[in-house]
Amino acid sequence: MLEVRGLTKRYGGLLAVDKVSFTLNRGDVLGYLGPNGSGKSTTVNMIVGLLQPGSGTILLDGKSQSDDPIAYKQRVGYVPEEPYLYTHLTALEYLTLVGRLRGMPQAPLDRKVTELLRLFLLYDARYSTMAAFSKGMRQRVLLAAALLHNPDLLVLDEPFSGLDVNASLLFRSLIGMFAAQGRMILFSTHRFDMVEKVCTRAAILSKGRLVAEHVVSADRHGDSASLEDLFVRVTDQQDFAPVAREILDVMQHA
Amino acid sequence: MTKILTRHFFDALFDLGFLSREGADAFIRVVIGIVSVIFGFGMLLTRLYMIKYAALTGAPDPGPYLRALAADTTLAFALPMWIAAFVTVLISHSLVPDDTDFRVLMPLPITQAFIFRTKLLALTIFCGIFIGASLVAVTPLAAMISMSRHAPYLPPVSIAAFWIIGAGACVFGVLAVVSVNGVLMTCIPRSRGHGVTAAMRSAMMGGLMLSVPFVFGLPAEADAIASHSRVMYFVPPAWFLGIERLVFGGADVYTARLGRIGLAAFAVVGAVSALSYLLLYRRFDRVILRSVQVARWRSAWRGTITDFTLATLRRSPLHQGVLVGLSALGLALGINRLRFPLTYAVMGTPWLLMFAIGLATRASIALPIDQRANWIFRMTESDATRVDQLRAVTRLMHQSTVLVPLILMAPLEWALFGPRAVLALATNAVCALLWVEVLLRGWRRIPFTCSYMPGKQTVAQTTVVGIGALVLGVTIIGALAVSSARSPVAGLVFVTVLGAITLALRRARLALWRENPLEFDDHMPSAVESLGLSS
Repeated sequence: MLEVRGLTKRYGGLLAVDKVSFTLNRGDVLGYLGPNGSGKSTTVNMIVGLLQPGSGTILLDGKSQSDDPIAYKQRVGYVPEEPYLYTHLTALEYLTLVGRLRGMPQAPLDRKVTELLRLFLLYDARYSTMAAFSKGMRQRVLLAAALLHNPDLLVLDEPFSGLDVNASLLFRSLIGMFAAQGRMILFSTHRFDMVEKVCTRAAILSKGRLVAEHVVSADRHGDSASLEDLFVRVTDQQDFAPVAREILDVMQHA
Repeated sequence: MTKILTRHFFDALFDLGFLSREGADAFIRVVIGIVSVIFGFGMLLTRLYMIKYAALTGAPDPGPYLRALAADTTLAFALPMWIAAFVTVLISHSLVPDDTDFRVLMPLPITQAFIFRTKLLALTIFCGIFIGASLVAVTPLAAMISMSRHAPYLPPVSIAAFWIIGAGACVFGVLAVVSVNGVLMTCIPRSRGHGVTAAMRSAMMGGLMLSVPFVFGLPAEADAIASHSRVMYFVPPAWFLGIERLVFGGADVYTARLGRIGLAAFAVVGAVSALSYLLLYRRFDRVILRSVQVARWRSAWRGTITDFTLATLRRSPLHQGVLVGLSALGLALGINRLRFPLTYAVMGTPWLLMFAIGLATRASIALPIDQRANWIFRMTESDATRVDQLRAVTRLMHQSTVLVPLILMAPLEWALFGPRAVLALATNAVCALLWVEVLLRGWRRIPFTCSYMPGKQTVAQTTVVGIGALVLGVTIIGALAVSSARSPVAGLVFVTVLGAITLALRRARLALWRENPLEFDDHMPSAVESLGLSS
């Protein structure tokens, strides 16, 4: 179980994340929703160990991240929001680099990399540098890299951006089966439809604070607007119809 | 509209692509520093030549003056020509609109011709600034050498000739680089284009650096020009001496031939450049897939960081260019010493190689690549593996800075000292190991993963320290090596003392690596020094 307790982060005078607490049980897929600048990425960066929390604790199965950050990171897989990877390397080289940095032995790593490349439909492009890859291909490389070391917790930051329909369907199935094995997924996204299709629960963040938690599974096949309505209500979103009208006015007359 | 897009292309030529916002600000200060050093150098050169020409002008026989004038005019053309070619090599990845331009600009209601025209205009302005600045910097020299009662032209004519023919020489330098790139881009298959143009860029950079001692050696070629040496037919700056004589008068058969070769070469590079631009214009879509690259071999793993480092050096034009360019400068200075007696060459060359290759390797691995991708190194850093990972850096530094110079120097030292060369080489090796430790003081970075902040010291300060280290190193290390070869006892003492210092520095470095985390963000040195008085 992942427990986040009173997580706070301040950048100078700006309070980016303010006492955020939630739990993620084994088998759960938690959708982490929030408008731009609400603190989602900061929280994610703290959970994967890229940022030091100002205060608060992160516990994975009762063990604090700060007590043994290396052991903690060994159990976490991460797919960043933008496909930040070394594009001068081939997918094969990148996955091997990641596996070796994670301390995996060479022979099983080679087998695993080859299989993952094949399953993520990247095998034919394995000798091309990733500079020539589309965004979707790069996302697939990042997901393969996140799964390489058999993590217990998978942190996905907008993993569906740039993916084609087939890859999206594969990702969705994968997420469901990963969680069904008793592992955990934190799924940070802007997309309500994906949260409703993929997640068991949703946490909504606004201005650095957790403002709502929502059980999704019951609504999955029901009223698809419910999560969106809740989001609009709890994050003080304005009514966008007048803004849209104004945009059209500017387009036509300015 | 033309102004906006030209401005956009012009600004993009200054974007090195790997610097943060703070780094880019610092880079502008570095550029200003470099320009002031170039102007300072131009003034120094003029001052030095004043002494030489005072004697030549005073002499009753015009012969020595005219011989010196021909050689020094060739130098005056060569310096701005070299700068123009160097600047063009630096921006050779941007000589035609790239894939981003293609995707962003083509959907807009502007024509392809307009995009190419503004890009060419931006390139012309960019190169024009450097050409103008370098011509201005060399003008005092050109004016000073032409102010003599023996001079073939009046001073205003000489200066006008220098500016017109000098500008032509610079344009030739630019067009030569453009034509090589153009031919590669149009003839090489798209899948190989990126790799081949990157390698050619490094090769041109290396070639230009190798030419530096020969450029500064041009004044010594006065006799070669006077004796109508055929070697000068292969020296492009000499072609422009011939063109000057053809255009402004005073050409003999030899200089006229030099001029005709120059005009023919100019026509060839001009035609090739124009043709390749035309072909690229007609096949603009070629640029879209320019970054496809195929590596069909699998590397035998030598170590995670070593493999990452070698792959980056092999494929990144920037890192390859820095490594090859700076190393070639050391090699060129070393080769230049081979023109003198062997003892002189053997004394100075090892340090020149170690100094340049060591700096080149360190500078190359200090520059980041895809900096935001370093999160994977941040996530996987651990106390247990950090020292092993960083050992890849010392291995690379030892191979480049110690092994390469020793392999290059071993035959020469053997030819000079015989079996006692082993002692000289041992002394050189310990000096190189010590130099590596100096270069790695405070280093805590995986290659290419840390941001880079240029200009931590002023350019003038760096230049003075660099030249000082180069001159002192040549003298001291050369003397130590020669003494070691002549006296084995002295050799043992040098190796022991220098070895002990090296080991002490190595121990401090390993302690630093064990106790401190990896560094991923570079910082300017703090303006306020902490006295550390509080407990």
